[in-house]
Amino acid sequence: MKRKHFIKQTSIAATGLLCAPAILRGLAPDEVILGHNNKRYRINTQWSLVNAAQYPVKDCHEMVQDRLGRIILLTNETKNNVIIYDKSGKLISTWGHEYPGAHGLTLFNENGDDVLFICDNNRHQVIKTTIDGKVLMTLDYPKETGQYTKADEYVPTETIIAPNGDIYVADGYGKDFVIQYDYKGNYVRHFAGRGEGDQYVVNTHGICIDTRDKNNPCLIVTSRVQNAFKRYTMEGKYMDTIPLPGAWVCRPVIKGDYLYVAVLQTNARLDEKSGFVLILDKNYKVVSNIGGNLPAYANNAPEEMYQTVKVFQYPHDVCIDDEENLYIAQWNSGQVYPYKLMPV
Amino acid sequence: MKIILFLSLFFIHQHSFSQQAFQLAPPILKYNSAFFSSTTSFEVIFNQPGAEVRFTLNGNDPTEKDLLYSGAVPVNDKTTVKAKAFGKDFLPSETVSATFIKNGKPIEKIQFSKPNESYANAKADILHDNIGGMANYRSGGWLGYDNDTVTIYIDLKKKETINSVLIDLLQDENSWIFLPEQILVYYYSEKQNTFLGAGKETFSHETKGQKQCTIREIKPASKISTQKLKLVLLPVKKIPGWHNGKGNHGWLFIDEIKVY
Repeated sequence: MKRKHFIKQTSIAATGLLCAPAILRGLAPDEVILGHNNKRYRINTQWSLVNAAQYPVKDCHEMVQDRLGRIILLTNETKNNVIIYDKSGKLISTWGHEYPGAHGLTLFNENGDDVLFICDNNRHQVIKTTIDGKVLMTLDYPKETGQYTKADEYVPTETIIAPNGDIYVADGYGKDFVIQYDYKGNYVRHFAGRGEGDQYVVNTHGICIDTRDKNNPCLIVTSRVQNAFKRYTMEGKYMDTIPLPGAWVCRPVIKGDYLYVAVLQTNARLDEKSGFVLILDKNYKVVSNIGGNLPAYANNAPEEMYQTVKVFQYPHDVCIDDEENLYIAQWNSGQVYPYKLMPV
Repeated sequence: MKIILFLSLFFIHQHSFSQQAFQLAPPILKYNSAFFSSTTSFEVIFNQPGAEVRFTLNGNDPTEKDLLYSGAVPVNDKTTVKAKAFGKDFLPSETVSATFIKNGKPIEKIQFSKPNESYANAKADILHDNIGGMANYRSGGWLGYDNDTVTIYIDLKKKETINSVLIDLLQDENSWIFLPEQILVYYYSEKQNTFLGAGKETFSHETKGQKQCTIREIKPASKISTQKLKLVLLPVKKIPGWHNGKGNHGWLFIDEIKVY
């Protein structure tokens, strides 16, 4: 009798589990597909398999994939500033205790070896390391520009490295200049910064090099508060602006023909976890908003963009792996580990 | 029985791999101003395939059976719109709302205490220009105060019987903007040649409030007739303990004033 009772209970419980969402929503749940057009994804919010008690995170700021296919996460948690995963979310290793303001993470293949560039907001420095954390070079605040009187004024958020090894640093939380160095760290020039006019930026949070047009490589620089990217030549001459109304774009990341960017939040709902992930095609046209509105254009400019599904809170970076999967790191989102999105 | 058990476990297993349900974000209410003289309209912005927006104009929380949004909605009288997004693959959004306010008795001028420089406005009629009602302190149109007392003098075009005084306030506690501790309404008595108390409202700040534009309408305790009114607003002097700015002075943001 007891056994029969148990079975009956189990069966009811199972039916309850199956039906509860259906009752709540009126219909049986389908698998949610996120994004638009040819950039649509399934999501796995439980991708990270690391033990949160043992390997905690604070803000998950940026991610890159190395030449061995591993996924590298940078967090401002000094118990383990760098967490190295395999693509399935299993922990490989961790390192780093001395980057309290760990923010920007850029990978560069230097003569066959992967090296990392870390921007530290608190240390007011850019640090070049080997893939396993040995420090190779440290760039202090750029006195040579004549624009800074002390380190505190310089809060670098991002770097990008040109094929010739030149280092471009975006001072996104400082004075908004982009500072160019040669591969040894010698100052070359600075540009962007704040001012009246299209050639200036506000909150230059990210930077990348666009080589999709092989004959005309250029720099794409974030002007986050202006909801735009600004393009400059490799010598820092302003070219044009790519407006992305409503979207607080973080760092541009190019993979193949597409540019991916985490949108921290949107003007429609400031300070309310209103972020999503945006994808532009080769012509800088919005093709997909993951967790955002169906892209729409009027007079050749995108209409104001906004979050439509609460998938993300404050997404901060996108990493695209060799199989076109996306990994999304988030800032100030309750110590959440990265999500993985698989193309449909 | 064994089969049932097997199937049950099978379904439990299947369920653990099913898609998690995401919530829709709230739709965006778009309008030029929450204040109007004859007619106005609003739009709802929300383009998510597989989702739709339902709305009400009667103050109720929208359900899937309420009006389906399909285009701009005209507004002719004081109206509160509430809108909510629904979609079969998602949990319904939170409700968003806005109240549209029609002109009251003609106002000659409104004088007010000097706001904080960062949130001041050069327009003399800023508190009765029919522009405002956006829940964003950066949207312009708001006057921001971080002092202890805000005094406002309202001169009507002529002597009127006063049914109520309405003021639009911003509540955005993440940005340290609180409703006042108290709003006091006074009217000018010609007979006594002074301002006399007409009504007041007191606010509690013990728990966190939602981010919103909120319209407070204060009705005089007795029938009064006057051409001049005075409002005194007392901003939060000490931010309460539950807030990360505790102990600091709170901000008060005010927008439009109407007299009915």
